[in-house]
Amino acid sequence: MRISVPRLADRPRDFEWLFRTWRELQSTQGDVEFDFAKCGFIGQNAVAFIGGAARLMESRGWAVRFLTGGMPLRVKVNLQQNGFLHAFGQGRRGWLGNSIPFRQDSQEDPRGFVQYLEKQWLGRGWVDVSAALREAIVSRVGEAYTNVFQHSKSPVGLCSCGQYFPKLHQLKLTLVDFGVGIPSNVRLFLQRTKNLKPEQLSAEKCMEWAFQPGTSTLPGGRGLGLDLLTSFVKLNAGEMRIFSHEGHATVTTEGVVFSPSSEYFEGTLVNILLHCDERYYYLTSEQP
Amino acid sequence: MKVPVYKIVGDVCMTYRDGERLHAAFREAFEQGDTIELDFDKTRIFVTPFFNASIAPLLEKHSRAEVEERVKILNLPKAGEEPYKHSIENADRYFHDPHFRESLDRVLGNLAAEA
Repeated sequence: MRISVPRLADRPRDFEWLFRTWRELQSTQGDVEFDFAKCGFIGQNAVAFIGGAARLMESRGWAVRFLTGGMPLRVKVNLQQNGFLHAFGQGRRGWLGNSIPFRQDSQEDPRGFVQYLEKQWLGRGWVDVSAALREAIVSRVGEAYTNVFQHSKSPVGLCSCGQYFPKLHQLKLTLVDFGVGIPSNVRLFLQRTKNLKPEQLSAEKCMEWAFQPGTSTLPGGRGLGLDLLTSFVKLNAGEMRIFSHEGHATVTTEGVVFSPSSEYFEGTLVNILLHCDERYYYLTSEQP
Repeated sequence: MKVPVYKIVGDVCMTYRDGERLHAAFREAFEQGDTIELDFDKTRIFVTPFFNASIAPLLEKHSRAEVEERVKILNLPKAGEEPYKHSIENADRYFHDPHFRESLDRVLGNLAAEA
């Protein structure tokens, strides 16, 4: 099956294309070629998602190829620079630029992931932050990382990719797993503990429950930590989108909005946008 | 009993499993009445599940006042303060505050009713 990849940024319709295409691929169950001839731009969210989907297809014995022949130069350079093509045996090693490398954590590797965030995402001088603030930010993103290996049962672990947009003053990072999704775990928990039927809770409502401080599908109600990451994104005037099943949460300075997603995705995708400017950011406790 | 956290889990406190290992290192001494000093010198990165596994379980059978009195947190970097506090507050509410559990159940009921 050949997939013609369109221009993909991180607009809602771009996520919809990714999720819809993945659903179609799963029903086909065969070898796949991704054709980028009509792709004028590919964002970090698409790189992380297509990479994770490709790994999952490979684990099922399907062959996956990325056609580079007609690929626009800009897209080809991006996929080479972030190491995506190299990861799939189709190009040279990546190099430093405005990309944050494509990465797959098939097994939990917290130290490796921390190093990735500190050196590749926050340590390149795009956002000027104190060491203490950098550790606080990495700790917050670490909450999402830990959630994958604690809750998701993702067969390919976690895939990540990022991008710096200097003209927009934006730094973006996407994390995606192909596990059971937030709503699935929440429904199973509520079925077991509250005798609620799964169909009584929409994916949107399950997401809303997971964001409540103190909720957890693990015994003891000790919290998923999503609210800590949410607080930080709001303070930064950034944005965070989380997609899982038909649920969609958008975090901005205005608050958290839960809405249904028009396309289903069985796993969880987190897209983080940080706003960068010339200011030096530090924790308020560091003020002299 | 003084517990050097770095020697047990390293500088990154980021897994539930590492939290369980830390918990196992001092739980027996705590139950025997010792005061525990958890020294976080040289640690850097922290997530809530780590504290959920290492310290929050104490709140199931002990009050928050007792835990805070007998488990001293030393040299915890700024990055760890909020996840630690978040973990303890959530566990305290869940284990000791019947109104919190009722409120949570009410939220769940409302969410189900709206479905």
